[in-house]
Amino acid sequence: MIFKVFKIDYFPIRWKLINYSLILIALVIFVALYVSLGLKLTVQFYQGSLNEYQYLETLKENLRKVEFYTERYLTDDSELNLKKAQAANVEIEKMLKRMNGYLRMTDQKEKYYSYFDLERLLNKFRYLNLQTLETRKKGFLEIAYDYNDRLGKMEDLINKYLTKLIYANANWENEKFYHLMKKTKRIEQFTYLLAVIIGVLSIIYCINFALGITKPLEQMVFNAEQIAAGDFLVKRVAANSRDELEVITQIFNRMSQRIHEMFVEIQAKAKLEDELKEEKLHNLEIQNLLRESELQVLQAQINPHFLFNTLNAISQVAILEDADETGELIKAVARLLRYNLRSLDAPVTLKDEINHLKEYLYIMKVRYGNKIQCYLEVEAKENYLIPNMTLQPLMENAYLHGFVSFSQQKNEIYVQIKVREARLEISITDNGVGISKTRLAEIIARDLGNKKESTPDNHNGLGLVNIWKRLEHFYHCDDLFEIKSELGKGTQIILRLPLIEEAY
Amino acid sequence: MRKRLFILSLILFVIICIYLILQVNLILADIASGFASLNPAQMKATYRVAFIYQNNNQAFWKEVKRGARAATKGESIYVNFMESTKGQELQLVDYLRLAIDTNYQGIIIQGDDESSLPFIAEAWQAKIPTLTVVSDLPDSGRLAYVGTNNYYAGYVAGKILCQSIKKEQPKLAILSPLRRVDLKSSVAESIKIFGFREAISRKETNLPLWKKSNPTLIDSLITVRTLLQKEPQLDGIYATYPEGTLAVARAIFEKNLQQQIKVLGSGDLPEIREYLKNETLTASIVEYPYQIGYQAVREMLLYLREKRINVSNNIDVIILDRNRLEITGASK
Repeated sequence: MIFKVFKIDYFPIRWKLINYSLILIALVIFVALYVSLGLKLTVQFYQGSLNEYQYLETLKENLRKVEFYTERYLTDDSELNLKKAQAANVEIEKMLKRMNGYLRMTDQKEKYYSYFDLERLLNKFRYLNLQTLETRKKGFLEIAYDYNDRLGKMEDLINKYLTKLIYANANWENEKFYHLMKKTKRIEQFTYLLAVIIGVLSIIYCINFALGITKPLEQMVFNAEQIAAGDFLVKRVAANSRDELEVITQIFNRMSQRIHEMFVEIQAKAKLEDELKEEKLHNLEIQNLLRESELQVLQAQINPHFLFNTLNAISQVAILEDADETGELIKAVARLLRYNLRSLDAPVTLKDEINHLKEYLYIMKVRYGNKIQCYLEVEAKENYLIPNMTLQPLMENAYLHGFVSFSQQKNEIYVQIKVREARLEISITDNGVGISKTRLAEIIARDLGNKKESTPDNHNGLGLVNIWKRLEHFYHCDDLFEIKSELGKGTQIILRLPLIEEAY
Repeated sequence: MRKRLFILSLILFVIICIYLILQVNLILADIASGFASLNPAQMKATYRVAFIYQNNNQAFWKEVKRGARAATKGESIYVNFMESTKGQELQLVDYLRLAIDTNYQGIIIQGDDESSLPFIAEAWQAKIPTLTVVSDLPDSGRLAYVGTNNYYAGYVAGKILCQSIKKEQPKLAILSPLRRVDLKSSVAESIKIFGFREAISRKETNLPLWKKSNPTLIDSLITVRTLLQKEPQLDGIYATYPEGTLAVARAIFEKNLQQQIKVLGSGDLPEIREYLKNETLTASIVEYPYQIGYQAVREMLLYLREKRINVSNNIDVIILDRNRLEITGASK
């Protein structure tokens, strides 16, 4: 059998795992990067603060140098001191350029303007210094001393200002640091929050992922066990994970469904086969019965026409010889014979069957005289159809087996035909010897087991079981027959036949 | 249903992550901006004004600064508050020199130190206009004075104190943050006390006792308690600063001397109002430092722009007594 190949778009578990891991790793790296960046910035901050402090201190140092060498130059007029003073001045100039950097770097207005003031002071200081050196070089000592005096005052002022600036800088940096700490604290909180969220969602994802795999698998194992135990009608395994598992689940579902369907199919086939076999057996049985009956009929029909004609001739001879009763008897035998020649398959009316029974009883009366009294009581319409040769074999049985001796004064057979409970009830009751229970079982068994055997007992009629089977085949039901018997008291055979009226 | 929930939580997770990362990013950017270069042009104001003062009263100057800052709002002016405190190397004069040397466009200075007179003149020569605030140096060649009329403040205090004392020739005391000999270091304080003494002299009082205390509550309290112990016959005290006022009120209240000693204070604090309510304090002379700061900067701006100035800039004082508590409302 060709199964439909499943082709669904799915997201492989492999990719799910890779994706999840990548996202997680990326997030963790992200967090780590941010934390390290935060740390780096903090370090940078400290470095900046220290650099600035160092810068201000160096500036102080250079101011002292300028003042010191200028003063010495003023006193000794040496080239060396002049150069040193000029070098220190240049150094301040360089530092001033760096200051522009500091000016740009700050976002604090107060700091910006403080550095701005410092820059102006230093420029003025440098200018004064250069003026001092220049006037000294030119030999204007008085003016040079005056300039130097102002330079000293200015140096003093700048020094004070630098001291204040260092102090203020610490405050500004502290303020900035506090601000920075608040921010880094927030980063820390965000990182924790992110970590918690990543953690929680990872757990949820893991549980979801694990359950998504294990649940359908557990269900499949359970179903497989059920199938193995012979219960093919299993619950569908549900999975909508859009991965290989879903494919497997669907295939498994299809498989179990197919197994179930095939099982049902095989069951139906087996049932059909059984029915066919039974029917065949049934047909065979019918055929056997028919054959048997026909054989018996054939046996009884040894040249029936010749016998029938002969009997008629004898009957006429008997009448001619004034033996009317003999003639009548022979006629009855001839009619009986003719009735017997009918096909066993064809149904007859109750009337015909009763007439035939009457003929038979007449003959029996002639044969046995008044030793057996027969009573016929019909309380039903006579147009009901019943199978041919139903009453006579039963009556024959009663005659042949019902009574051991005819010495008994009251040997009676009652035939009652009536409609009861929508059935045609035919009851044949004798007050003969009766049958023991074991014997009754034996008779039934013998009739069933040796249908074809011809025994003296059933030689002249059809066996009881034979009649049952015929009736069952005719009516297609099996509750038609009942035997009641008691040893020494008699036997009652009751037929309960469905009502079939003759169509007009 | 579970799948939907899962997808929903995943989306939520991504959104939260993005939000958090953006937040962290913002913070980092904020931190980094501290190191990044700023356009100095953003900083540059059209006018640079030096606000030079001697901080001997934290609360008072805080208010002055607040007022001055409020006046700069929306204006292209930068006011550099140059605060000189005791023990610091840079004093008023140094700052004044600094302001001149670094070419500030304007100087606002507390006219409390007479040694600053030549520098104010120098500034004027360098075409830097100077305003005096809180206390005045009328001979300095300053442009104008913005602040309380200290003489009037002291005079009113003396007058009210004398009126409240029924006694002839009452015995009075002054609680000041300055010693008598240091008076010259604070023009404002000296003028205030001068005004006070003028007022009380009309009642032919004895020379008032002079008590100096650091301008803190605890020091003032110690000074007042000692004074009360030593001078049980005292009829009235004038405290020239808010902490001193509180200290006197508390000491009087503790000793239950409200009926015997009348107190005239300075400043407007919730505690001072409480003492006014229960009549421990007779009245308090309230100055408006916020107004002083604000007015000073506005005047300077006016001059820098239009080269004109209002000659009279006296900021009124209020005599806060029991009856005026509700009218004036709670102080800031």
